[in-house]
Amino acid sequence: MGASVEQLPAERLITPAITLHEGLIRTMKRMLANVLQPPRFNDEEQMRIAQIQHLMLLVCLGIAGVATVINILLGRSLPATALLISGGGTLIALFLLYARRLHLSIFVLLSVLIGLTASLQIIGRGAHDTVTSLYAAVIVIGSLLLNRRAFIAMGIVILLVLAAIVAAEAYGWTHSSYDGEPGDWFDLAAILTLTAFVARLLNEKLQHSYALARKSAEMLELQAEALRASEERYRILAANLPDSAVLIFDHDLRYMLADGPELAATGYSKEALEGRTIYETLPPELVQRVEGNIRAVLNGKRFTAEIPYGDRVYHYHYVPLIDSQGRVKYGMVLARNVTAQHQAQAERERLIAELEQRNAELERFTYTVSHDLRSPLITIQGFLGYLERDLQEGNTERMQNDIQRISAAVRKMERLLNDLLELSRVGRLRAEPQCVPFNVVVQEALELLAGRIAERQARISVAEHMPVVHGDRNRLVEVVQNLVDNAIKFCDNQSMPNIEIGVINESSDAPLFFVRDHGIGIEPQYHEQIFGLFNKLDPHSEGTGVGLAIVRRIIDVHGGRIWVDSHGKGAGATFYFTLPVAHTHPREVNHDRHDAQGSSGGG
Amino acid sequence: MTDTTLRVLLVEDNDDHAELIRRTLGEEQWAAHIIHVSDGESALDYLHRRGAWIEPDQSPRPHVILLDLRLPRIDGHDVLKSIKQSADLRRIPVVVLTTSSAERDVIRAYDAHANSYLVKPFGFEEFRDLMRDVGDYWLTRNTVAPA
Repeated sequence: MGASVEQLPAERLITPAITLHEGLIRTMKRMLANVLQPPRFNDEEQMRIAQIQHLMLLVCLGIAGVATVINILLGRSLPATALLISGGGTLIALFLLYARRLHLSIFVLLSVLIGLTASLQIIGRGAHDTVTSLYAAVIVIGSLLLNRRAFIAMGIVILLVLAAIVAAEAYGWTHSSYDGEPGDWFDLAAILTLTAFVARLLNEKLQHSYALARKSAEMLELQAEALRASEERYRILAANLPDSAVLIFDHDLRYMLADGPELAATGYSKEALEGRTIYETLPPELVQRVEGNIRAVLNGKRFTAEIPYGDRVYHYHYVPLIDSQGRVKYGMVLARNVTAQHQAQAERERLIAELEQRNAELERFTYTVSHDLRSPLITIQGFLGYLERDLQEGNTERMQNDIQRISAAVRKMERLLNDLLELSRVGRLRAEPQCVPFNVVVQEALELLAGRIAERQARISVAEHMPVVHGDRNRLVEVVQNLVDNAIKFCDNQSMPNIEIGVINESSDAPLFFVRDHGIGIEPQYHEQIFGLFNKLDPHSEGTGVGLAIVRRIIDVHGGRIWVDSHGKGAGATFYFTLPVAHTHPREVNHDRHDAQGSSGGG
Repeated sequence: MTDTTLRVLLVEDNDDHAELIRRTLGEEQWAAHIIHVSDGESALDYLHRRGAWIEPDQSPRPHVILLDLRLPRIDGHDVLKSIKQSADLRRIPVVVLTTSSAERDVIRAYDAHANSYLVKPFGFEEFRDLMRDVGDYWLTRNTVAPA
């Protein structure tokens, strides 16, 4: 702990020294880098020439420096001086370049070079001095830096200077051992002109090629840009296809493209898939499911399929992508989430089925009603005819019998009409659904049946804790009343009918209520028939056969189910039914307040 | 044939209708014996000689069957189908006598090879006339297949 405290100030002392040192180095480096870099020009052609000029200046400076040193060491003061002056001129040209005076800088450089050459010739051996070859270098440099007109002007200047040098040689102003002759000038002029021509030709060809290359590069860049834009459009298209995912595979079953809003919903990302094969990305069982289809589309097959994926359903379009040679280049899979449509379709089908069921029910109902209402009318008409005859014959005994039959038929007719009315009302609930303990429902039903229970000395045991149900209280009472009444009716004349009312799975979401008797039982083949309208297994039993039809209708309206379980004759019967209970979410009960018959019950 | 009495099996759940049929047929003094059962199951028990009718003496073959369609337990259509599918019973003429004039009942009955389809008429006279015609045709003019 102490050590680290002591170290801290030392570091602080050292740090600024290092920073200063580094800063100096950095500044120098930056300056050097600046000198080594040509100044920037916006015009590309200017920039190109500036770069050449910059390079030439640096090279010339370097050569001038080295040559000066060599001449000083050799004790040749005059050439050294000329070289120093030239070096100064070159430096000026360099500054002019940084001052962005490009043309002036070139002019100065070339002038310095020509001047230097001429002065070295004068000092040296005139036109026959080796330095004469420097003109060729100047011409080459000029061909790189000058436009055609300036280049020609420079050539003329050099030739004139050279003529002057030859003349100087002729007059003996130089140290040449030759006599300057016009022939020498012609030779040199021819050589330099040829050099200029070749240099210029090469340079112009080079310029031409360079321009061509630049143009191609620009075109390529434009094409690449167009391609990028086109790909971008496809990307945007793929990424925004509503409720869809687009997958494109090559022949290795590699994802070339995987995109679309639905892709994320499947748990895969574009990044995770693209560039990889299905074998690298999908679990084996999924590979097994999709591989065949992808291979089929890569073989040129075009097809559609509907495949569930989790809780969703996708409609797949498999489309082979064919190139200009007619070969399948890629296989495309366009997956569209059709779950909503599926649900709508299922809902529509459910509604149609429900409607058809209702229609069939109505048809059965009409048929039954027309048959069952006609029967008593035929009876009445028939026996009225016989009554007339009895009257004529004075057969009072038969008369009484016929009257009884007519009267019974009329009563039956009335009962049928009342029951029908009752049944028609069941479809509409009488009151707002409410939560009511099922024990209370049972209690009310038993009170209504009290007379009948007492008369038959029925023993009824009721489970103590039954769930709270949700529904039309009076209708539910009617259910229990009908079932218990039924149980008493078919008790096979037991002296004391024994009936149980209870519930299975009491605390579950779907408790199963039951009413059990130990009466005559029902053979399995009639288990469904007994719920039909006016269906009676025993034609001589009391009632019209509407009770269980009403019970089923009430349970249906509450969204429940009812069925009977009995092992046949003498085995008793248990009626099971389900109802919405209060601790579950109550099902929407078909509730219609437009009860034309009012809510007074009974007709 | 020693026994010349013509037997009619009346399958009718409505006692009043059975009584009307019995009376109207009886008035015509046909030597007809009417066996009345009131549901489909009993009709088939009688015809197939089951349960209470296991003894052939107690369940002689009827010469004609008057069959209602809407019956408890097994309905008339199923009874008809069972009769016409049985090699022993299929030659017995089955006259459907019902309150239903519904087209589908008529079609179903003929599809199941009913021999006649009659709708119970309203009105005493009409009912009596119909039963007289039934008796006249099926019990006197019609020739039944030998048992």
